Amino acid sequence: MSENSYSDKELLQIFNAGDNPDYAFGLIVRRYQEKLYWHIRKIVISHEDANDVIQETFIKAWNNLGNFRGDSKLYTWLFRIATNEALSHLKRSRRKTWIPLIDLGNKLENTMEGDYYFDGDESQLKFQKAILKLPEKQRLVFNMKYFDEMKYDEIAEILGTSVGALKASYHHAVKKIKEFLTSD
Amino acid sequence: METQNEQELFGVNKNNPFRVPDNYFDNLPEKTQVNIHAHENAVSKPITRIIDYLKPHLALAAAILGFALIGYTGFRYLINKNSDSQIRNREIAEYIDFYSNDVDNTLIMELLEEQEQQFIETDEDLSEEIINYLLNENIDIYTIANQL
Repeated sequence: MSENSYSDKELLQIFNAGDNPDYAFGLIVRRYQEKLYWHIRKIVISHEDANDVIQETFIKAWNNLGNFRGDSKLYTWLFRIATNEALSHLKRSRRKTWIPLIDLGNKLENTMEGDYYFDGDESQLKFQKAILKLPEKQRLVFNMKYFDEMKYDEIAEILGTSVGALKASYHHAVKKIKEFLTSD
Repeated sequence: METQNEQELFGVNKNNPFRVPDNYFDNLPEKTQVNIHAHENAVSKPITRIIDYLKPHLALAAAILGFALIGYTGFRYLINKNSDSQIRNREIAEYIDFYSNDVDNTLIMELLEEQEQQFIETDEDLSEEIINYLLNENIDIYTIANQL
């Protein structure tokens, strides 16, 4: 059976029944791996880091899935874990290399320019650089809204912020990106 | 609609500029399962976890200790360099030599004479006390000899 044969609720029931949790979890991974990967990749930029973070995300999900009560959607729950893991990963790598917060954007820009798995043209590179100049929270909101095309209430659930604050963040992010793109 | 307007406004192709290695997503679920079970095995070994947790702390402590030791050694070296230890050693030797000669010639003789004098005085005092006692008690010297 493919991952589309079961609903999230049914997969959770199979997982919690304990007969074959590997099977149920494997289907969950197949269902959400791409969306989670691209979400993580836009935060950490390099493929190697994104690969590490998605593994950590699924390990955490496996360990805590038994306690998941279904108050939120499985999709937003997994995104919340992925977001936290990606931000923690950035924080750890910043501490390891003694990079101050303000230089993190520059470091990620350098990573992107040297990334073998970046195929963007000149304008896309400049666009991505503009996004990397945003503060962390605005960058997250912009990517989730613009690229992942998530609804504000979904983003609010993942980031634990109000819809009003998210709209303001997105508005500021768009304005800053436009300014950067038209600056030269 | 909003997205289309933004794309026109940014003037940038919205397609994902990033890519992944070939077959990455085909293999990811299997790799994930392997990692999860490897992690579970690692978690079941608490001693390894404690060592892993302590390792960076121990390394930091060793580094601090090392720096402190180097600093202390350097400090001692500077102190010793500033004070001329050879002169100090010579001074000590002269001091011992001077006082040891003095003890040989004068101090020891004086001490011996003083002790001998004290012994003689004590001896004389004791004899006088015995005679006085015998006289007071009216004891004859022959009576003592008979008793013995």
